[in-house]
Amino acid sequence: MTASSTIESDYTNIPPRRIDRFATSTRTSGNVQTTTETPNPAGETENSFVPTFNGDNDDRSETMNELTEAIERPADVATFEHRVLEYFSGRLESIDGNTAIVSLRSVSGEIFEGEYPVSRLLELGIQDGDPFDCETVETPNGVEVRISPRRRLPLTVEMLSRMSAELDESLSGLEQAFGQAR
Amino acid sequence: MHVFGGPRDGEGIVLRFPDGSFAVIDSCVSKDSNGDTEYPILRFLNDRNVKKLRFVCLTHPHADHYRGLVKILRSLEVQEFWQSQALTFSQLKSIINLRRQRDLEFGDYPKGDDNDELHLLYELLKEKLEAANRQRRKNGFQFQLIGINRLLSIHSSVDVVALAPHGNEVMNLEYQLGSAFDEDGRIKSKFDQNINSISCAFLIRLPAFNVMLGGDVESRSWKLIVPAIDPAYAGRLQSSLFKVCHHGSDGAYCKELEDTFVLPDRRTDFVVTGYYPSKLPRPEMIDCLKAAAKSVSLTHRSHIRLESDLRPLNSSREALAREFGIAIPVQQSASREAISETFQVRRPAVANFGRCSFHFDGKGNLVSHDVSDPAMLV
Repeated sequence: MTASSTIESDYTNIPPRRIDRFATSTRTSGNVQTTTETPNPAGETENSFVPTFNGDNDDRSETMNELTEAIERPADVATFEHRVLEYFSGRLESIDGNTAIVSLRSVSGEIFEGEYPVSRLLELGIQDGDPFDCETVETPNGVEVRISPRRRLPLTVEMLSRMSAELDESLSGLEQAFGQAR
Repeated sequence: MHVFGGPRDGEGIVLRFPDGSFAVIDSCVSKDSNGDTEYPILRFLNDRNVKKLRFVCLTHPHADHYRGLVKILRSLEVQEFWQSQALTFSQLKSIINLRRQRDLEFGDYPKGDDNDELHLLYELLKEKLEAANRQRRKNGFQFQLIGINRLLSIHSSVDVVALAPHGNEVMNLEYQLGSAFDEDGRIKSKFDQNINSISCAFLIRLPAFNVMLGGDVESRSWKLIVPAIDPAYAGRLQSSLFKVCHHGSDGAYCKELEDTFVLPDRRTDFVVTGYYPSKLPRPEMIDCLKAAAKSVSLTHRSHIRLESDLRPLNSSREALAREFGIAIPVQQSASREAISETFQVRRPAVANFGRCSFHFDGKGNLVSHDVSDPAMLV
């Protein structure tokens, strides 16, 4: 991300999400399992691997070794076939005691509303009003519902300034109208 | 008065005054089964060949109250736009900024979302004001800022007394928004000001009766407002019809409201617009209202599940329904599904919306009270 990048390119460059992430908990309901993923402090799931190259040869060598190791390591959840059936864009709409009211928007735009334990969403770092990702995944054990927090993008000073300037420009002149109405 | 509401799509009110003029307070939209946006209020007005509105009011900047206002303002001639006096230019910008930062953090910007509609609304208002200033016409488009005790005359026999927002709530919002950002313009802490506290609320006074529109003002604010109402209006506050505040939440009703605005001997009709994402109205609140009311109307069934359609019911949808407690509709037969797919069968438009209509005669008698499905009397 560069200082001159636009707001649009800042978010459209998000790399696609991996679905074979490490599962930290599984909830079974009938033949339905729910898998939730807890992000580590860097916001990545535990087996997400983000190589960083800073020009230092030692670091690069170490990084390559880690990368090789990660590729060769048997994946925790890759031992069975699974298939994403559907993706939903979720949002924690409100909290009613211990119950979270959530909305789920399918790719085709249908909206479903339901309930979920608040504590499980909070454990994932999903707070009131936050969006989250939700997938139904077919596994040999049945269909799993996977919930994961959506990664937050860091907002740069340039992005904030640009946003503010856009608002000023689009609404300029309205301030005077507000003043006249008083 | 016609009150519209859907389970998650907010509320809007259409007023028809004795001189035949119309006004709209807040708006709401819905999506049909094909994902097309429906505008129930605009459709209602178009069906009655209404071309002009005396005023359009946005009580407060929550999406369940402003969605669809842009379409109304573009489609009809509007004389005045009313809004809360707490929403100054600076506060408006801060509110849009707060929401946009959150959207941007999650990569949702810009997508024509709810926040974008608030921005579009004020861009449109700016255009209208600029045009009015250029034309300098008498009775051109005007902007009205609403605060407690402001009196607005509709015509010789109808006036509107603004009951909210209270000045303290206006200042609270100003203070909180003023300290919500760091020097770079980044949100520095969770913003927890209750926007409902700066909602407008109105008492419409006609010669023989009053109508109380509570907006989304909650009981904490009413405890400030009631003692601060101008004594000049005292004695003429009790109302024949009461649009219950804030979708019938826990704070929707209180003793101060009942003592001040409700007629004794259960002579007031109540109407409630629900809001499913917050599980409103509360059943306890409905019971409380029933104890004081002549009737209680709901714009839709409480906690109604959207019917949209876990159809066809495959293993993915079944998993989703179980996990989140979503009601699974009766599975359609293969035959019905084939018919539906072949003929692109659509559900009736705005099926999720209910409308409660109240018609009064000149003496203040309720001459008709209609509730259209899925609205209901409780």
